[in-house]
Amino acid sequence: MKLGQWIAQANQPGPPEHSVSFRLAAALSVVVAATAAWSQGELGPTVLAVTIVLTVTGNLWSWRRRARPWVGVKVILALAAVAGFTWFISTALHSANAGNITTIEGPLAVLFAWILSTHSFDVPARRDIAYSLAGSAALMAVAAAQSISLTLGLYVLAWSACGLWGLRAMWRSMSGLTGSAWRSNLLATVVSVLVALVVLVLLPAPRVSTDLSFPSTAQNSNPVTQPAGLSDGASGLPAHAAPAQGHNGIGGFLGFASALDTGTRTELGNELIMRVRADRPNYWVGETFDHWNGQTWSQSFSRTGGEGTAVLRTGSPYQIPLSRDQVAPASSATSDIQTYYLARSGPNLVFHADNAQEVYIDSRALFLTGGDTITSAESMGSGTIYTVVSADSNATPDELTGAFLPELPASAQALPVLGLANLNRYLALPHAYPRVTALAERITGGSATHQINPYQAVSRINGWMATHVHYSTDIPPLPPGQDAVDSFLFGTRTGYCEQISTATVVMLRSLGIPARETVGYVPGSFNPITDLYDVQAKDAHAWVQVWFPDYGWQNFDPTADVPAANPAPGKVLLGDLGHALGRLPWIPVGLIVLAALGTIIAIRRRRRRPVPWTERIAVDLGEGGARRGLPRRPGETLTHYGDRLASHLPEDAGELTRTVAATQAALYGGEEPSAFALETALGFARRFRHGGARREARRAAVTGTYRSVGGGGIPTTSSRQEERSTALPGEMQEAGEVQQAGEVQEHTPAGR
Amino acid sequence: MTEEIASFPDPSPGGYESSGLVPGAPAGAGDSVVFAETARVAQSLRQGLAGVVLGAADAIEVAVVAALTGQHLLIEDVPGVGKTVLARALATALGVRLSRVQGHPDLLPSDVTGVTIYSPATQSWEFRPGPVFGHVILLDEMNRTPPRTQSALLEAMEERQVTVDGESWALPQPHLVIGTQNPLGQLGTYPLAESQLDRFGLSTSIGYPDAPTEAQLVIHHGGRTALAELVPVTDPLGWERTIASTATVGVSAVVAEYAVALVRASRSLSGVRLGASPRAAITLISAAQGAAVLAGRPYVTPDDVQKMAAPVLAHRLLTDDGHSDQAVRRLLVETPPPVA
Amino acid sequence: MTDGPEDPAGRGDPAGRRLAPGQRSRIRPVQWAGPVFGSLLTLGLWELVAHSSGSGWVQAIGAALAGVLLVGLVGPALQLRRITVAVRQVPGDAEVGQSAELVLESNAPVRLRPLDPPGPATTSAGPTRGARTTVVDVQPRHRGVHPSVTIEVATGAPFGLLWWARRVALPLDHPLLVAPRPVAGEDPEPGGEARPGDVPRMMVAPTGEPRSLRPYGPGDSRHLVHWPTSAHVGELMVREWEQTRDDQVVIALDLSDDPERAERQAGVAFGAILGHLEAGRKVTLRTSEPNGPVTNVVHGRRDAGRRLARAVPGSASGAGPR
Repeated sequence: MKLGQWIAQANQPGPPEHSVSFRLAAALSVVVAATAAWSQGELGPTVLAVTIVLTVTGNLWSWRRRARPWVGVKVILALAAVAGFTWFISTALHSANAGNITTIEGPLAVLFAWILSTHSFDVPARRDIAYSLAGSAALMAVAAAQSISLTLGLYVLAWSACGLWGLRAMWRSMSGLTGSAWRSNLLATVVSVLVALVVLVLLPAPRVSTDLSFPSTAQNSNPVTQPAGLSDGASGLPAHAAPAQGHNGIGGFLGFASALDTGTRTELGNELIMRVRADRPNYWVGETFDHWNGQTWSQSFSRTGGEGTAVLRTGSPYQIPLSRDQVAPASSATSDIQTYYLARSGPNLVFHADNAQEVYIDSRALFLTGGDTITSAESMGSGTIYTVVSADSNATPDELTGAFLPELPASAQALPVLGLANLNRYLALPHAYPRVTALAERITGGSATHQINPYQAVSRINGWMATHVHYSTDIPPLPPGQDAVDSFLFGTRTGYCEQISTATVVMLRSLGIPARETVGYVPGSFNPITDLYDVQAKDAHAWVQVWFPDYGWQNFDPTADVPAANPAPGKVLLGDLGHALGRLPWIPVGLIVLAALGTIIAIRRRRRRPVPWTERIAVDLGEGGARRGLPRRPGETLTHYGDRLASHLPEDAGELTRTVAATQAALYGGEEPSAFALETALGFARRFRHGGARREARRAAVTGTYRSVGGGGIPTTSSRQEERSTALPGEMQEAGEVQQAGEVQEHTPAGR
Repeated sequence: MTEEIASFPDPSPGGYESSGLVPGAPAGAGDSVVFAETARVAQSLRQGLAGVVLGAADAIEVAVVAALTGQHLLIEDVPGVGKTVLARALATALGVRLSRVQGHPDLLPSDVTGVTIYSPATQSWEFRPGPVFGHVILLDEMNRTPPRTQSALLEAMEERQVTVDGESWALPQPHLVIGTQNPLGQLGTYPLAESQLDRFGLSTSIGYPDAPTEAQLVIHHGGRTALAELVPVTDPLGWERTIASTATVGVSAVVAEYAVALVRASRSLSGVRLGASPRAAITLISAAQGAAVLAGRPYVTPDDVQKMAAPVLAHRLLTDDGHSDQAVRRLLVETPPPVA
Repeated sequence: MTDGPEDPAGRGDPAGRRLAPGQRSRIRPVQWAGPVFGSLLTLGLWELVAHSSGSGWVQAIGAALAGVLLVGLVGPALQLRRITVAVRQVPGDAEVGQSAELVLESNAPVRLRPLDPPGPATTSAGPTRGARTTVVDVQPRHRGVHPSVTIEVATGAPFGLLWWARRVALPLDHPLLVAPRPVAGEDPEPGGEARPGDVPRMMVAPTGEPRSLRPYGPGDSRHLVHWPTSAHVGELMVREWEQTRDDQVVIALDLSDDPERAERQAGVAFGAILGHLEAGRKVTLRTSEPNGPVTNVVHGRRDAGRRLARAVPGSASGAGPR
């Protein structure tokens, strides 16, 4: 076929589609998809309004002109499409981050909406409407691509409902069905949803592509009044450690301030602090503290400048220089991208996974302290987005086990060879901790003079904490004048992350292992739908960082283990389902289910009287006949049906007649058949029901019993053909005689 | 007018006792000899009639069933299709003579039942039995007789006795009335009431023969030659026994329920103004027994019921469109038969 | 299968293998490439987008799409397994080139396309559930006797994304007899001039005594043309024959072994018979049938069609009366 012909054929308008329902569903799904895109900020309100108006008018116009579509509309649509693409390409080229999917997402949504709404002027036929329906899926995808909220679910539901409705309407229109169809609609919906759920469960979790851009916007932000200091998000006022009874810390956590007072107690709420899109779960580091005074952690670095402190004013993206106490990540390190979406205003801390290298943030400046703490010059209001690229050193336990600290004289101030500039800061203790030191030495088997492997030390302390300490947030405040670590380890041994991590740091320092306190957030719960970690106030955490030669600072959480892996969304759903099921009151529910089952069984028992063998045969024959296109007719007795079957199926005729006769004699004549006859009859009926088609095919193949005479094939057996060929001349002669004789006598073939 | 008058009524039948089996119980082994004889009589009857009345297998079957069950038979058909031949052949095969009453508007009840006349010879009033005193009576063109005579006739059919001048005379047994009716709507007819039609257990029609059969009819002089050669297969006594034996054919509860269901359904069938009476159910079972005998089976199957549904029910249904045979066909389709 | 030697081309069954009555073929998708590859492409692209965007929502929508597509692609196959089709009403006769109506009953919505004899597809409209009857047009292309009809049963439920079909051979209560297409205006050759395997071997035997002349009518043998009178009158005149009852024509049909030629021969014979019948003649047809030669008077168009439908190759003239 020539290309021109093919194009002409492809563009030929199909028969007009008269189903209003199908049209309506397709138009609605376009509108819903556009609204979804608008709700996710991909489309502006004007574009949305234009899209809706165009879609509605276009569909109305197409409906009115469906029987006589105007060819000119195709030309106009083609021009509109070209214009749309031109605009899109130019917009994409001029965007800041050309060639990146995320930057072209907005224009892409506009393009899709434009194409879809103009296309609705040319949907006279079923195929066109189906394209409309399919196109709305693309718009939906754009809307969903960067969605971080669960409200999109409502749109997805509405769009799915429209799509299912449209498909069903298409099928009904296609097959000319009428009347109510709620049962089959429901069935189709339920089956589709089930299959979709199974697919969702089986699909692997989506992975964030490293090809993405790094979104950052500042919203509700104010310049921080005290540059490089900490502030809370709302007013740009300095953040202070709140009083113990107060709840005015961030989400109830009092740690994100210039100092961490382990003597105060607070309760953490469930407020959503932020959402994090990340390749893998990690500790979102907020601040580190190196100075311990027996009750409070603080930073010995000045925030306003000085040693170890840097101010970056390069503008986004900020390249974070390696701090003096950190070790450059090995080449095997993988970059780990996190994007933080702040749900509420927070301190001007830039949270990050360890070893931040690049920060994309809408801010005038970034301040770095020697303790790897990053703060912004802007306070962070809700809606602020920033992205951090970190280098994950990927140190394995084996590698860390091999990293020994050198034997050093106690007077040594630095480990310049190893890269740790301020050793003292990380070994300093406010006073001697004899009991703690003894305990640490006993647990780890090392001492300040007898260096052991830091990894072993941390592992042993962690193990000891797991077995000797009880976790509770409900502990009394620290009595004034007491050392927090001493009273924790040799008092109740009950506490939460602050106590546990502080005790660990002190024990490690007493062994001569550099360590510091870190506060931030644990990854939070992963939401497989939005693909984000939802970080709540209660996810605020304090843990330990330990310094290793060649590997730098490594996170250790003596309180709990880091979640192992990024779970598949389906698994999380199943897990949630399991949790939900686990919360069910099983005993009453079980009783109710049992009772319902019992009732159903009892009813069915009563309804299903024992089926006599005669009836079973009748049912079997009926099923078998129906398989062969000979269903039993209404009002037909078994005998008559058996005769009819036998006349069509000569191979089975004998068995059929015998079987039917046996049932009739037994039922109506009281002649019970012999066990053998009964078995034969039942067996035949069963075979007739099940094995019919296959057996018949085999039989037909073997014996050639069935010969269709239709379609010009003329049924003869070969022997007959031979007969004919030999008899031909004589017959011809006789034919001649007939004509010559000129007279004809009627006769019937039966007479000869 | 009466064409032939049967010999004076035979006294009551001989001492044949029913086997004591009630319908519903399958025939026992002890009856097999009796049943075999019954089946033989039935087959012979059918063969005999088939040789005389050509091309009317269905009508013959119904006629034989009528003979086997002692049900009166109604033939609705146009004149000249062999009704008389059928009746005569049936009578001959049963070993009795046919009494024929030709219906016409002047027919009086006494013309049928008989009159009491004064006999000068014996100086007394004597009863002269009418043609109704026969074993097989052909009432030709019944609907041409006035209603008075119709009712007299039908009373005789129902009561199996005739009352003349206050004296009752029993009719000979077995007693089979074959009534014929012209198609309704012809001039000068008195349509039979539904209750009167109900007295006829079975109805059938012979219909026009097809071309080859018609040719055969012409050749064989309307079957008269064969009729002359027809040999009786039984006698009134044997016939009586046959009727009794047929009544013992087993009817299972399922089949009886099916028959009753059919009759009941006929009352609610769409397009039917008047359904069948309860009597129809009894007749239907009885006719199905006859059909079973004809099929050589000592028990009734749903097929027998279906086969006899039209003869038993068609003339009892009053339909809107007048096609009661089609109504019966619908009835059979709509009423589910036993599964097996 | 019964791909017998008598039908090497398998012309009667465009779908290939022939089915025995009551037999059903495997279920297979109709024009599956587009829907299946289209769906795979869509899902593949979708998964790509879902992974590159990393959004679970895209994945959720993709899963919904996959669910619908899977159900739409596989659903019809499952549905088709439960569908039964039966013949409700069969026309007694059909003629090549003309439509005959077949009434089929199915227990679900289906698209029915007769294959043998062929005909256009018909979609069974009606309620969404329950039994329905569908009138299907068959347009036989060849003369013959059909003890069964082969129907392609197809369904696209629940969405119509992909159609699945199977062929079923439905036995008929009485065989469908397909008469040949009448070929008018061609005179069958008188038997005396017949050469075996060359021309239709048919004999037209005028009978009776010559009576008068009448204008030429279709079916008249050119041997009956009375040329002098024709020249005189200016139109073809033929001799008419006096008969005791009416005109009698005997046509003996000797079909060729070649199906194509036999088809044409039968058509010519049919045309001739119809011409003779129209002219008020009594036609006696002699054919060879599977049970042997049959000679009988033709009663009308339908009768002639049936006789010709049943006719098989073989000379029928040999068994004629002497």
